[in-house]
Amino acid sequence: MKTPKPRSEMTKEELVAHLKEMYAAEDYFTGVLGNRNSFFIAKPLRRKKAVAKRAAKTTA
Amino acid sequence: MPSTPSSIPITFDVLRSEETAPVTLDFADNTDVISTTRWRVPRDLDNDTALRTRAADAREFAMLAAKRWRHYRDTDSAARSLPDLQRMIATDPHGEYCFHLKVTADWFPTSLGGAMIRRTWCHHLMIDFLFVHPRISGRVENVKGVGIGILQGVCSLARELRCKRVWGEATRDSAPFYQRQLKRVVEDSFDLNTAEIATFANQIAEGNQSA
Repeated sequence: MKTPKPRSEMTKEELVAHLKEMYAAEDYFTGVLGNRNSFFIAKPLRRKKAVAKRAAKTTA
Repeated sequence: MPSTPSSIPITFDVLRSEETAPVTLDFADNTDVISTTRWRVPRDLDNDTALRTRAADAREFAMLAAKRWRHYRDTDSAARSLPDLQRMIATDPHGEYCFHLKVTADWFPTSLGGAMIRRTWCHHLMIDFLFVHPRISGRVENVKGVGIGILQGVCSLARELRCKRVWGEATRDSAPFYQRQLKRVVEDSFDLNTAEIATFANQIAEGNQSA
Protein backbone atom coordinates (compact mmCIF):
# COMPACT_ATOMS: atom_id res chain seq x y z
CA MET A 1 0.00 0.00 0.00
CA LYS A 2 1.36 3.40 -0.98
CA THR A 3 1.45 6.07 1.68
CA PRO A 4 0.90 9.48 0.10
CA LYS A 5 2.87 11.26 2.81
CA PRO A 6 4.33 10.48 6.22
CA ARG A 7 1.67 9.80 8.84
CA SER A 8 3.00 12.59 11.01
CA GLU A 9 2.07 15.06 8.27
CA MET A 10 -1.43 13.69 7.69
CA THR A 11 -4.52 15.48 8.85
CA LYS A 12 -6.83 13.56 11.18
CA GLU A 13 -9.19 12.80 8.28
CA GLU A 14 -6.35 11.62 6.04
CA LEU A 15 -5.04 9.35 8.77
CA VAL A 16 -8.47 7.79 9.35
CA ALA A 17 -8.85 7.23 5.60
CA HIS A 18 -5.36 5.70 5.43
CA LEU A 19 -6.09 3.32 8.32
CA LYS A 20 -9.44 2.34 6.84
CA GLU A 21 -7.64 1.34 3.65
CA MET A 22 -4.89 -0.49 5.52
CA TYR A 23 -7.37 -2.37 7.72
CA ALA A 24 -9.87 -3.10 4.94
CA ALA A 25 -9.19 -6.84 5.15
CA GLU A 26 -10.48 -6.84 8.73
CA ASP A 27 -13.99 -6.92 7.26
CA TYR A 28 -13.12 -10.55 6.49
CA PHE A 29 -11.51 -11.20 9.87
CA THR A 30 -13.71 -13.26 12.17
CA GLY A 31 -11.60 -12.47 15.22
CA VAL A 32 -9.36 -15.53 15.22
CA LEU A 33 -6.60 -17.00 13.06
CA GLY A 34 -5.21 -20.49 13.42
CA ASN A 35 -6.92 -23.83 13.72
CA ARG A 36 -8.34 -25.20 16.93
CA ASN A 37 -8.04 -28.70 15.47
CA SER A 38 -4.26 -28.42 15.28
CA PHE A 39 -4.18 -28.11 19.03
CA PHE A 40 -2.24 -30.69 20.89
CA ILE A 41 -0.26 -30.94 24.04
CA ALA A 42 2.67 -33.25 24.32
CA LYS A 43 0.83 -35.53 26.62
CA PRO A 44 1.02 -39.23 26.00
CA LEU A 45 -2.16 -40.90 24.87
CA ARG A 46 -3.85 -43.15 27.31
CA ARG A 47 -2.97 -46.71 26.74
CA LYS A 48 -4.48 -49.80 28.09
CA LYS A 49 -2.35 -51.37 30.71
CA ALA A 50 -0.83 -54.59 29.58
CA VAL A 51 -2.48 -57.38 31.43
CA ALA A 52 -0.08 -60.04 32.48
CA LYS A 53 -1.14 -63.44 31.35
CA ARG A 54 -2.11 -65.55 34.21
CA ALA A 55 -0.56 -68.92 34.35
CA ALA A 56 -3.02 -71.66 33.53
CA LYS A 57 -4.12 -73.59 36.49
CA THR A 58 -2.95 -77.10 36.48
CA THR A 59 -4.78 -79.74 38.27
CA ALA A 60 -3.04 -82.77 39.39
CA MET B 1 22.35 -12.49 16.69
CA PRO B 2 23.04 -8.84 15.88
CA SER B 3 22.11 -6.39 18.59
CA THR B 4 20.08 -3.75 16.75
CA PRO B 5 17.53 -1.45 18.40
CA SER B 6 14.47 -3.52 19.23
CA SER B 7 11.35 -3.11 17.11
CA ILE B 8 9.16 -3.98 20.06
CA PRO B 9 7.13 -2.61 21.86
CA ILE B 10 5.33 -1.07 18.92
CA THR B 11 2.73 1.63 19.42
CA PHE B 12 0.39 2.08 16.47
CA ASP B 13 -3.09 3.38 15.73
CA VAL B 14 -6.24 1.32 15.38
CA LEU B 15 -9.67 2.62 14.47
CA ARG B 16 -12.04 2.95 17.40
CA SER B 17 -15.51 4.05 16.33
CA GLU B 18 -13.99 5.66 13.23
CA GLU B 19 -11.41 7.59 15.28
CA THR B 20 -7.73 6.81 15.67
CA ALA B 21 -6.72 5.28 19.00
CA PRO B 22 -3.20 4.21 20.04
CA VAL B 23 -2.45 0.64 21.12
CA THR B 24 0.80 -1.08 22.03
CA LEU B 25 2.03 -4.47 20.87
CA ASP B 26 4.52 -6.20 23.12
CA PHE B 27 5.67 -9.57 24.39
CA ALA B 28 3.34 -11.12 26.93
CA ASP B 29 4.48 -12.60 30.20
CA ASN B 30 2.86 -15.37 32.18
CA THR B 31 0.38 -13.04 33.94
CA ASP B 32 -0.70 -11.55 30.61
CA VAL B 33 -1.30 -14.94 29.04
CA ILE B 34 -3.19 -16.37 31.98
CA SER B 35 -5.35 -13.22 32.24
CA THR B 36 -6.86 -13.96 28.81
CA THR B 37 -8.38 -17.14 30.24
CA ARG B 38 -10.70 -14.88 32.26
CA TRP B 39 -12.20 -13.35 29.13
CA ARG B 40 -15.93 -13.90 28.86
CA VAL B 41 -18.41 -13.81 26.00
CA PRO B 42 -20.40 -10.56 26.42
CA ARG B 43 -24.02 -10.99 27.50
CA ASP B 44 -24.92 -8.27 24.98
CA LEU B 45 -24.60 -10.97 22.31
CA ASP B 46 -27.09 -13.43 23.80
CA ASN B 47 -29.58 -12.69 21.03
CA ASP B 48 -27.12 -12.72 18.14
CA THR B 49 -26.02 -16.26 17.38
CA ALA B 50 -23.47 -15.36 14.68
CA LEU B 51 -21.61 -12.73 16.69
CA ARG B 52 -21.90 -14.78 19.85
CA THR B 53 -20.16 -17.64 18.03
CA ARG B 54 -17.37 -15.30 16.95
CA ALA B 55 -16.89 -14.08 20.49
CA ALA B 56 -16.94 -17.64 21.83
CA ASP B 57 -14.31 -18.63 19.24
CA ALA B 58 -12.05 -15.77 20.36
CA ARG B 59 -12.38 -16.87 23.96
CA GLU B 60 -11.67 -20.47 23.05
CA PHE B 61 -8.59 -19.57 21.01
CA ALA B 62 -7.24 -17.48 23.88
CA MET B 63 -7.70 -20.43 26.21
CA LEU B 64 -6.08 -22.88 23.79
CA ALA B 65 -3.14 -20.50 23.39
CA ALA B 66 -2.80 -20.24 27.17
CA LYS B 67 -2.87 -24.00 27.50
CA ARG B 68 -0.12 -24.36 24.94
CA TRP B 69 1.79 -21.55 26.66
CA ARG B 70 1.81 -23.56 29.89
CA HIS B 71 3.33 -26.47 28.03
CA TYR B 72 6.17 -24.35 26.63
CA ARG B 73 6.59 -22.47 29.92
CA ASP B 74 6.93 -25.71 31.85
CA THR B 75 9.51 -27.03 29.38
CA ASP B 76 11.57 -23.81 29.55
CA SER B 77 10.99 -22.95 25.90
CA ALA B 78 8.69 -19.92 26.27
CA ALA B 79 10.25 -16.49 25.69
CA ARG B 80 8.94 -13.50 27.64
CA SER B 81 10.84 -10.80 25.75
CA LEU B 82 12.81 -10.35 22.55
CA PRO B 83 16.22 -10.57 24.31
CA ASP B 84 14.92 -13.72 26.02
CA LEU B 85 14.06 -15.25 22.65
CA GLN B 86 17.37 -14.18 21.11
CA ARG B 87 19.22 -15.73 24.02
CA MET B 88 17.36 -19.01 23.57
CA ILE B 89 18.12 -19.06 19.85
CA ALA B 90 21.80 -18.31 20.51
CA THR B 91 21.95 -21.19 22.99
CA ASP B 92 20.35 -23.68 20.61
CA PRO B 93 19.88 -22.40 17.04
CA HIS B 94 17.72 -25.40 16.14
CA GLY B 95 15.51 -25.26 19.18
CA GLU B 96 11.77 -24.68 18.93
CA TYR B 97 10.50 -21.79 21.04
CA CYS B 98 7.21 -20.09 21.69
CA PHE B 99 6.25 -16.54 22.56
CA HIS B 100 3.01 -14.66 23.06
CA LEU B 101 2.22 -11.16 21.94
CA LYS B 102 -0.36 -8.87 23.51
CA VAL B 103 -2.03 -5.65 22.39
CA THR B 104 -2.92 -3.21 25.16
CA ALA B 105 -4.27 0.31 25.46
CA ASP B 106 -5.03 2.58 28.37
CA TRP B 107 -8.60 2.92 27.06
CA PHE B 108 -9.36 -0.84 27.23
CA PRO B 109 -9.53 -2.71 30.55
CA THR B 110 -7.69 -5.84 29.43
CA SER B 111 -5.64 -6.82 26.40
CA LEU B 112 -7.37 -6.19 23.08
CA GLY B 113 -5.90 -9.29 21.51
CA GLY B 114 -2.93 -11.55 21.34
CA ALA B 115 -1.15 -14.26 19.46
CA MET B 116 0.83 -17.37 20.14
CA ILE B 117 3.82 -17.62 17.84
CA ARG B 118 6.31 -20.41 17.41
CA ARG B 119 9.87 -19.94 16.24
CA THR B 120 10.51 -23.21 14.46
CA TRP B 121 13.70 -25.25 14.37
CA CYS B 122 14.59 -23.84 10.93
CA HIS B 123 14.17 -20.24 12.09
CA HIS B 124 10.76 -19.42 10.67
CA LEU B 125 7.87 -17.90 12.59
CA MET B 126 4.61 -19.82 12.69
CA ILE B 127 1.35 -18.18 13.80
CA ASP B 128 -0.35 -20.80 15.92
CA PHE B 129 -3.21 -18.74 17.33
CA LEU B 130 -4.18 -15.12 16.86
CA PHE B 131 -7.27 -13.67 18.51
CA VAL B 132 -8.90 -10.42 19.50
CA HIS B 133 -10.95 -9.83 22.63
CA PRO B 134 -14.49 -11.29 22.46
CA ARG B 135 -15.98 -7.79 22.81
CA ILE B 136 -14.10 -6.79 19.64
CA SER B 137 -14.72 -9.95 17.60
CA GLY B 138 -18.36 -9.80 18.71
CA ARG B 139 -18.51 -6.15 17.59
CA VAL B 140 -19.68 -4.90 20.97
CA GLU B 141 -16.69 -2.57 20.69
CA ASN B 142 -16.13 -1.03 17.27
CA VAL B 143 -12.36 -1.49 17.03
CA LYS B 144 -10.59 -2.27 13.77
CA GLY B 145 -6.93 -3.01 13.12
CA VAL B 146 -5.93 -5.20 16.06
CA GLY B 147 -5.71 -8.42 14.01
CA ILE B 148 -3.80 -6.87 11.12
CA GLY B 149 -1.62 -4.95 13.56
CA ILE B 150 -0.57 -8.19 15.24
CA LEU B 151 0.15 -9.76 11.85
CA GLN B 152 2.30 -6.76 10.89
CA GLY B 153 4.01 -6.90 14.29
CA VAL B 154 4.90 -10.56 13.77
CA CYS B 155 6.47 -9.56 10.44
CA SER B 156 8.39 -6.79 12.17
CA LEU B 157 9.82 -9.34 14.59
CA ALA B 158 10.55 -11.76 11.76
CA ARG B 159 12.52 -9.06 9.99
CA GLU B 160 14.45 -8.23 13.14
CA LEU B 161 15.22 -11.90 13.76
CA ARG B 162 16.04 -12.37 10.06
CA CYS B 163 13.47 -15.11 9.63
CA LYS B 164 12.88 -15.91 5.97
CA ARG B 165 9.33 -17.07 6.37
CA VAL B 166 6.18 -16.39 8.39
CA TRP B 167 3.57 -19.05 7.92
CA GLY B 168 0.39 -20.46 9.33
CA GLU B 169 -2.68 -22.49 8.72
CA ALA B 170 -5.75 -21.05 7.04
CA THR B 171 -9.19 -22.43 7.74
CA ARG B 172 -12.40 -22.00 5.78
CA ASP B 173 -13.18 -19.03 8.00
CA SER B 174 -9.78 -17.34 7.90
CA ALA B 175 -8.77 -18.00 4.26
CA PRO B 176 -10.89 -15.07 2.91
CA PHE B 177 -9.08 -12.72 5.29
CA TYR B 178 -5.65 -13.91 4.18
CA GLN B 179 -6.70 -13.77 0.52
CA ARG B 180 -7.81 -10.19 0.91
CA GLN B 181 -4.71 -9.19 2.87
CA LEU B 182 -2.19 -11.06 0.73
CA LYS B 183 -3.99 -10.46 -2.57
CA ARG B 184 -3.69 -14.05 -3.74
CA VAL B 185 -5.51 -17.36 -3.49
CA VAL B 186 -5.03 -18.98 -0.10
CA GLU B 187 -6.07 -22.54 0.58
CA ASP B 188 -5.30 -24.31 3.85
CA SER B 189 -1.96 -22.61 4.50
CA PHE B 190 -0.18 -19.37 3.75
CA ASP B 191 3.37 -18.21 3.92
CA LEU B 192 4.99 -14.83 3.66
CA ASN B 193 8.39 -14.55 2.03
CA THR B 194 11.10 -12.03 2.86
CA ALA B 195 9.69 -9.32 0.56
CA GLU B 196 6.17 -9.66 2.00
CA ILE B 197 7.55 -9.70 5.54
CA ALA B 198 9.32 -6.42 4.78
CA THR B 199 6.14 -4.88 3.33
CA PHE B 200 4.07 -5.67 6.41
CA ALA B 201 6.88 -4.71 8.76
CA ASN B 202 7.17 -1.35 7.01
CA GLN B 203 3.43 -0.75 7.33
CA ILE B 204 3.55 -0.98 11.11
CA ALA B 205 6.93 0.76 11.31
CA GLU B 206 5.63 3.87 9.55
CA GLY B 207 3.00 4.30 12.25
CA ASN B 208 5.16 3.22 15.19
CA GLN B 209 4.91 5.88 17.84
CA SER B 210 7.35 4.08 20.18
CA ALA B 211 10.28 4.62 17.82
